[in-house]
Amino acid sequence: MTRLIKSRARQSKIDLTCLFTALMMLGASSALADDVAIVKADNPVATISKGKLKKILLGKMKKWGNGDQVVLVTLKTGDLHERFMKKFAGKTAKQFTNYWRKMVFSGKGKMPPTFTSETELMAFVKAHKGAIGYVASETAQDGTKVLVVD
Amino acid sequence: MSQNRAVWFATKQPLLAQWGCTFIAAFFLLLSPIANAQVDVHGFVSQGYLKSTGNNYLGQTKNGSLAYGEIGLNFGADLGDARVGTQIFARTLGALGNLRPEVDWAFIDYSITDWFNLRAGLVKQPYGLYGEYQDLDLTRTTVLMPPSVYYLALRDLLIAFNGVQAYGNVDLSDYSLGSFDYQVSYGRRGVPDPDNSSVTDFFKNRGYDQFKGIYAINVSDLYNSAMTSLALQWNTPLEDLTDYKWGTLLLKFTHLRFGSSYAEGQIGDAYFDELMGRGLVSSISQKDFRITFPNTVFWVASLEYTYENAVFAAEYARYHGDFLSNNTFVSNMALNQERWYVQLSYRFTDWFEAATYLSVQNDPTCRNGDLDCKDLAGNRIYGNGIDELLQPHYNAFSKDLALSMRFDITDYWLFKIEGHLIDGTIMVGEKDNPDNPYLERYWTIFGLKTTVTF
Repeated sequence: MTRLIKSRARQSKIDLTCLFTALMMLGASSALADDVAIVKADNPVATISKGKLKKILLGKMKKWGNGDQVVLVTLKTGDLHERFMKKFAGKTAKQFTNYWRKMVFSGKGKMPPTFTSETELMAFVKAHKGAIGYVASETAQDGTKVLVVD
Repeated sequence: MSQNRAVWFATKQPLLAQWGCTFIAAFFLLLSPIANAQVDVHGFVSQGYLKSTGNNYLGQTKNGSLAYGEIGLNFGADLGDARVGTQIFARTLGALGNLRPEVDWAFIDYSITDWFNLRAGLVKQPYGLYGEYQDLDLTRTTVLMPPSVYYLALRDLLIAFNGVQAYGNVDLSDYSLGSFDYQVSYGRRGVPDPDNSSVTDFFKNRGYDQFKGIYAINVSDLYNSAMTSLALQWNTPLEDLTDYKWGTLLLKFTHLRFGSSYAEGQIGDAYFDELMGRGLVSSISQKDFRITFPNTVFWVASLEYTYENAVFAAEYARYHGDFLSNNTFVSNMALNQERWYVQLSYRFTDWFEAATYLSVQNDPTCRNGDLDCKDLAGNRIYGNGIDELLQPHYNAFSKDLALSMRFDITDYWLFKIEGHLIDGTIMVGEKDNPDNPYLERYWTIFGLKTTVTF
């Protein structure tokens, strides 16, 4: 009887270990999805600090070093949008939208154009001087440049 | 004649400035197609319902009131380094507003560099964390913002100014100090429609006789010659230091000073007749008065902490000012108020968010309305209610506990429901409660609101 209890205890311990490992792998796979900021290929900027990227996302940095206007574009919804905003704007997607609504209705800024897909967003960035957006790293294509966030 | 013209300009200055700024903004907006710029148009419509027990609040709410709503429509365009725009706004709040359109803001915003930019025109007034956004139901969880710091009836005074504003972001993240947002403003706060303004009501209420239901004074003109303000927000380095794992923390301080201002008007007929009957006045010219307020100060210290879907906010505000009358029969007044709140909101799902706050307002020299509290003339203010014909002690404070729920039906349409339990009546206007001059100490408010935006 005691052996049976011990065996069941060991079995449940093994199950918990498996579950823990699975969760770790899930977490790791989510972390592996590398989201990157992109600009038009001819933008002279190659690296950007986290602080500056946040300023761009919140409309506090309006010009690049060469004087070009910063044109921020975002995805409308989705996991990538949620992850990117949390990581670099310090806000959830809802908080980010709310922030920009405050800007728009107090006259402080213009709502960033939004796109339903990474392809559309990337096409806009490729075509517009000063544009900045974000995609999953494997989506980035010629005509855009991945900004290194240091 | 020239004096009359000067008076006319002084009193109509807010209205002229308001529509002047709009005209200039409209001119630039009309130019935008030539500059190949796109004109952005956004708007919102909000309709609320307030029902209270015990006391009327901002209208005749004991019977349930739909006189609570806002409409806004704005236009904006980028013209090179400048952005121009304007917003037309109308509201109804009890007897105020009546949905008359007014210019909410109209300015040109010139971008120079991250840390220095300029705005000029009719510009939104920085006040605490959310003062610039207090008309925007769509940007918050609650129906009524914490009434201590964001008192709806004071909106007309603290919402915008005619003048210039320097602003920017000073980035010190290389030194692990986060960054600072600042706004330095200089201009005038005009009240375009004094006959129908909550600012006028502030003075009229001071002379309101709740027992007879008459106003001792009527205010016809308000004038402010200068307003200066500083808003400084520290975006602390918490997120950098913890690699965004522990949320974000910001601290803010706002200071507003209204210099050399006055309110003009006449003593009400009933009060004047009483004075005449007692032989205290003899000439009709003694009806006129001017109340000057040379230095009125408002300041707010604020904190906002955001962690994932939770947002905690706390603000503490103080109001100071002396109101000096040139008429013996209109007494001097002093403004000394303490206002604060703590609020927690949490978004549970894409479509549901909840919030709760405790909002407190009082006179810091007399927090609980003690019997030894005195006014400027040395008279006792508070008593034991009807026995002494003095204000009851609970008129010295208000403590408002609120619970709100917000439902986002779509990205552009929301609905809210809210309840309040309140102890004290300092936030209640006597004129809203002519049938019950002593007011009820414990009372409640129930609110609903829906907003559509585009």
